[in-house]
Amino acid sequence: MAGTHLPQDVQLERPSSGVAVVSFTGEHDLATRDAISLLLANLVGENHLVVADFSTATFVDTSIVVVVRESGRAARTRGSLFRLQLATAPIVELIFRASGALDELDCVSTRQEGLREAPKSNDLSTEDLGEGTPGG
Amino acid sequence: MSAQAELFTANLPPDPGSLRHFRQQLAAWLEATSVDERTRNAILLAAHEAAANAIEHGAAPLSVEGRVEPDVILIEVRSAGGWAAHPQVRSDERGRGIALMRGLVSNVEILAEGEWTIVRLRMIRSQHTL
Repeated sequence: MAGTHLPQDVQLERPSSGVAVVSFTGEHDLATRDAISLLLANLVGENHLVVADFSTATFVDTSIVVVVRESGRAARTRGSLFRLQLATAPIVELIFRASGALDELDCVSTRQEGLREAPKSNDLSTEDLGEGTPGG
Repeated sequence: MSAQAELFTANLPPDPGSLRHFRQQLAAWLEATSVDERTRNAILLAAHEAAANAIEHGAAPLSVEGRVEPDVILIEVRSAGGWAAHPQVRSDERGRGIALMRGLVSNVEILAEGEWTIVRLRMIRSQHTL
């Protein structure tokens, strides 16, 4: 993920090694789907815990929900953690709920919950972690 | 976009980047209809999914009309191209978008009229589907 160019209204934090928090603000739809899909695929592939924080997003469409669900499945397949942080605008909560994503994903309402049981640096395989640096 | 009386009209270029502005226009119109936030959100999401389908699988021109009647709000998304019958629309994420529309509003009709595809969304004012 070194030198990654982040999509508009997306911020990436790495609170500890092997842990990524990707925060979505503003509106996300078909126009940014491919960039978000690539970003989440890379983060899931490089980290033991990824938190996708939509708590300050103001709109999300089905194409983004599909990408988030796929990321959750990819993490499960890999044996890592993927969490969805909501507590957000009613219209964002509505699409995640109406699409059934809340039944499938590990959902949390705070950052603290999102980061619980985050692996410590010395628990991680450097082979799995890659050379991640915050993008931007 | 025009919002005279209780009519909404918009013409969209076949570009995903146009969806954000479309939503802003539709949200402003819905705000003026005095329906509650939950209903507005459901209509906005369903109309966005219909327009996104048309942009991804249809062709220009693409237009949206909205009308308020005493007990119902009607939205019609009309686009060129017979995308409704395309197998990919029914199987991939756009198919999920159609399922979502059906869960959000009271009634969804997807009609093929010649080279046109028309999506009609009907929301009964007092009905919350989800």
